[in-house]
Amino acid sequence: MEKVIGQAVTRVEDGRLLTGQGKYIDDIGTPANTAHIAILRSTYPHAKIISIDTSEALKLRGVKGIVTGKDILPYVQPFSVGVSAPVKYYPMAIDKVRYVGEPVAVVVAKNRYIAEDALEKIKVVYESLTPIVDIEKSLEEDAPLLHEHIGSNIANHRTFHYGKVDEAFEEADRIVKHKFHFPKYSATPVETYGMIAQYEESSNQYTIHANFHGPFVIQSVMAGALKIPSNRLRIIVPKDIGGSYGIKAGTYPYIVLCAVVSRMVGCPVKWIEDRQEHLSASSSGTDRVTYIEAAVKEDGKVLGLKMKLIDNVGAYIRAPEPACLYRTHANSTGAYDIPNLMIDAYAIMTNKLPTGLIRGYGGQELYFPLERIMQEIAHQLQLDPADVLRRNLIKKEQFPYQTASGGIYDSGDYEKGFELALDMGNYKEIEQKREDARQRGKLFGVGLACIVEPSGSNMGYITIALTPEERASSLPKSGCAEAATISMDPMGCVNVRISTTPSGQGHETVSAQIVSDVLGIPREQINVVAELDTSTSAWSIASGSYSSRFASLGSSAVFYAAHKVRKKLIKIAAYHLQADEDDLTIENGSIVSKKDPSIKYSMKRAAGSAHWNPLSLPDGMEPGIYETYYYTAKVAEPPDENDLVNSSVTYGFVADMVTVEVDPDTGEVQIIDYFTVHDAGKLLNPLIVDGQIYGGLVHGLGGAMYEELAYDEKGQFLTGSFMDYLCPTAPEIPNITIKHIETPSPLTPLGAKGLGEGNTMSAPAVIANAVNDALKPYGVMIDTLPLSPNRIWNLLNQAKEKKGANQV
Amino acid sequence: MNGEGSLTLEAGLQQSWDILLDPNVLQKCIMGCNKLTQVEENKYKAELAIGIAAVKGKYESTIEIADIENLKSYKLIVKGEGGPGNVEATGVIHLEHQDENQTLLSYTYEAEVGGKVAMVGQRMLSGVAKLIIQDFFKKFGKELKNIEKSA
Amino acid sequence: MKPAKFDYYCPKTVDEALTLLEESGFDGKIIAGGQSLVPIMNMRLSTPDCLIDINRLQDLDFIDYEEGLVKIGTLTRQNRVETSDLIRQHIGLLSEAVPFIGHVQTRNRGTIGGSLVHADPTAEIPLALMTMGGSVHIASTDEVRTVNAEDFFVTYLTTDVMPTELLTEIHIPIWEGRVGYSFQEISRRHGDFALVASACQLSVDDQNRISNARLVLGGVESVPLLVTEANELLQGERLTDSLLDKVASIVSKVIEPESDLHASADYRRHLAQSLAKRTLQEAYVKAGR
Repeated sequence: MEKVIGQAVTRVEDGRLLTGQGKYIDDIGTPANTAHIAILRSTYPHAKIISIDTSEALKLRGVKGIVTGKDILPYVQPFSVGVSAPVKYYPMAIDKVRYVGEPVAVVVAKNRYIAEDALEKIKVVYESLTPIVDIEKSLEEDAPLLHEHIGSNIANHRTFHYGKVDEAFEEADRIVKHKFHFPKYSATPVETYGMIAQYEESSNQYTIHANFHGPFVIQSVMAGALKIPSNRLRIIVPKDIGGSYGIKAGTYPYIVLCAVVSRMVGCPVKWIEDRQEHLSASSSGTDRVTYIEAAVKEDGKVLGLKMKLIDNVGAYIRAPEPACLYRTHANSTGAYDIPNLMIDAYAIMTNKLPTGLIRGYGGQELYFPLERIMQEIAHQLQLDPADVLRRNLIKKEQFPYQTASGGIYDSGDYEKGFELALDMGNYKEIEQKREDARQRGKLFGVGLACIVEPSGSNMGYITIALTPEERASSLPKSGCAEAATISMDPMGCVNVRISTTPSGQGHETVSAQIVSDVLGIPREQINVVAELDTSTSAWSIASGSYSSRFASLGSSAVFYAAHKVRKKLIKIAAYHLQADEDDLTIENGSIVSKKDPSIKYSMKRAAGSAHWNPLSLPDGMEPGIYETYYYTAKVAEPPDENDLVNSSVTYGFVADMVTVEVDPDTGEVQIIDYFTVHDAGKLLNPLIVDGQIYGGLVHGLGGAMYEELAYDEKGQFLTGSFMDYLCPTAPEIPNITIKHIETPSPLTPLGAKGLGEGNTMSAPAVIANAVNDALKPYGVMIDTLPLSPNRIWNLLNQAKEKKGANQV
Repeated sequence: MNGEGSLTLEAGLQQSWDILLDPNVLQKCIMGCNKLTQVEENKYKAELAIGIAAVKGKYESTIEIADIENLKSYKLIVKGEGGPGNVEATGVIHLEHQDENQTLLSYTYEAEVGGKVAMVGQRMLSGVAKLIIQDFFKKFGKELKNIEKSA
Repeated sequence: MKPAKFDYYCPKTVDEALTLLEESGFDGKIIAGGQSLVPIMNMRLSTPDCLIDINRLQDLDFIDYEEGLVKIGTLTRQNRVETSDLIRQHIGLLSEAVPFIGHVQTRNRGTIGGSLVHADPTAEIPLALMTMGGSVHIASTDEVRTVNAEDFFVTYLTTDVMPTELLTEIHIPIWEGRVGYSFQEISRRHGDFALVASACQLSVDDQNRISNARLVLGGVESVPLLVTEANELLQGERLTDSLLDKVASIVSKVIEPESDLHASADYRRHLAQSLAKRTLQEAYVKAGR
């Protein structure tokens, strides 16, 4: 049978999804008597709640109950957080609101219409407080405080020194530095948050169906908040999740809220978030101010970096934050060989929506300043940016490469990938294109970026938020465990159960490919079950869909579980055939002797005997075929006492070249071509790979050009619909050319690395570089996003005014 | 959002001043003001239907007149809470004697809108706010004329 | 995001619709394509007590040619307007404007009359109607009256149509002679509301002198703005660079744009000038061909 790993086979999921047979949260039935929830949300960015009058709302026919923040207090405690600042985060505002959109009261009614009618009848009296939304102003002495008992708006602060930073800066010919701001933007899956929560009094158990996709470490955070043993919180994730891009990790405060409300009102409740709620109050990416300084030699070689990172985690720091600061900690120096590094990291709180995972998490915030400064180094030294990147890229022979901050880049050939990108984009002919554009009155620009794409998060990395002393006083955390279960029924048919809670990435397809190759069964005959049930599935704290961890970890668990089944089948056959196990292999549904193919035993029979005739099994063998494998990569160690941490398991590589034309009159940017080269190790399914890359790239394009969760200076939220929160749509997508090189990971059994987030991380940087290059004649510096035509026009105008002033 | 404007009132200073502080006139001039009841001196409760065309929200509001400098200036503070969110607007109104029959009214305003309207309506918000405020003074000018006529 | 409760009527004739309108008065609201109204209702920014659905009034779905005139029924879908050969041939500015509206899916539902009565200050159809010098028929149980585009738009989302009235037909004159037109807009993404839009239609004599010009801007005022001063200036002139600059400075003088998240007032002012020049120039070149 032909091997299918690495083949661009079509997805098993697509049949049901394209014919309307997907099972999303809103497709699964509800228990009898289920009521519907609508949430009253704060219209103030920062205010005291003086009173909430629900009396009129309660009179409406069909309203079953109304729950306010104070009401839930007996049943919940604040969510635990991974920082030492004692932030009290509840799923609903208790006495103060801290962002526009924060839940203030929950109406439970016969249907959503009545529930929304009731919302309008609740009267809340607020006393407004001075809001703070600016990242740097939040750090000032007299800044308004969100959480008075903490005494400042700082949720976390850590400083890291790696290598000999001072010496590098002394040795440098030049220091190139700038301040960058990466805006708050989001991930906007078509399916919003949704859940059905049911409390069963007799067993004190909460059962939740939700499109939550992990990390399942948050299951214990939720159980903690609900003050129950964790096995009393059963979370069931439906087969299909309508996209997430990370943001559905943020469903958990609502899970707790719905759970409590179900308990208090005494019936199952269902809540489907609407788009306005999603944009204003689900979760979002983290906005960051970065001060970056590079110590460089005249030839463009970077000797050291200093970075001050200030992450705005919104109104409350909550799990998994401050992970945005640290997820990319090991790859802080990107694709470059920079041994000296200083990082001053802050997570601060302001009156904005709390943040969390979104695709690229931390990567776009890191690479925007890093790749912009690499281009700036070239500009200041009057070097070709491509040469500056070449000078600094990690060389092939340096792998596995240890980064300054403790990362271990498993494999790669960055120079090859980068040169391929330059060839694809015909970088040598770029000046001709610049001239052609000039003839047409347009400004042509080219941008380059090389980034490292981490995947498979080490569960220990987040503890870097604590000092080595603080870490020493708690149990160490490490690893990245993922599980898969494969069973063979009495007829020899295979079921695979995964705990990677896919949200459209095709895990079922790839799992079937892997099992097919290991067990020699056509992939069409393999049934993959993607539902996760915390009471019955094999899972661990790291389980879930995030950090591109399926290709590196989930697939490995499936692979090894399949091998356990294979081994058992061969053992059974060897026993019956009186053959040597090492001589047997699996071919076309049979266990066959390598030496003498006429000696064979059908797999169906082997499986059958494990069920029908367990007494025929070798001594000591358990009946049945049901194998679970828990996989973890060994390189995911806890941070050491010097704060060295390998924050991810595998590290892929992306090299981008982008060309743009800017209209100097209107400031409009047109992307002419986007060339991208990926090295994600061995590709498991190139069709899915390219689909993931397109999606990630367009998300990055959104961050670069269109998307921003905008607040005015007083904390009012301004982008509450897709009319103002602008996701790229089909006409905005440029020509995209993808190429791959494959440098297998030595760490994973299949050689695969995660992917799909790379261009989300690189696109904002590379597009900004291209636009900055186009505007080079004007001497402008792009240091924030998105690149709206108004922003570009302002830059051009300021430059023209400055030039005019200089001429006078 | 903020802005400013001015207009010439066809009335003397004293008369303009009196009319400006007359709650009946206030009710007539505030767009969508269905009910105005005094709760204490210079403080009123009002039911407002603010918006444009079919896009309207009902607000329970307080209207307060503060910083009164007789015949010169005062501050009008409007706070409203309603289904579509909250509104907080402050206007400072100045009168200046021109001649017997003419008074110059100038105003500055600051308005904050929160909630749904701000979230989805930012594209037209400042224009509509300006419109509502201009409408207030236009109506006020008309009221003065009407009173003039009937006098 | 569920609408507040409302009564729903689905009349089968225009007369029936008008009677319902009269009965419901201020509480009634016509629904046609629903592409603006439904989201506004779902957000509860609009809570009409009564919806009168005119989608079955097939009499109001037509495109007719008459001596010197194209008549379009209010219920005609934007998509049909976009693909009509009759419209392309006689009033081509409209064909050029419609593809800027939203997306194919919204144009399949959205109607020409709906766009006019919704009167979004950046909308394309109001801009085109004003530029071509069209008029509309507005019916009530008492009468049918005709209103010129200049008098139709009152302010943001507000037109001359009273609560008891129904816009029924759109009449657009076919310009005589050597005519050129242009429609351009700048928006953040394709299909978004225009930051600024500009439309121009003009005719020239055999000496390429402008005999009639109408330049209209969208997104810079509460209604589509007819730049009368510029149109007068252009009368009898050949288009030159200096004339274009003069038009631009008139535009800058007469508009008072607002700032929002996507564009500052200054940027809008700049775009208005640029687009005015671009559309004027393109229309002039087309007319001269």
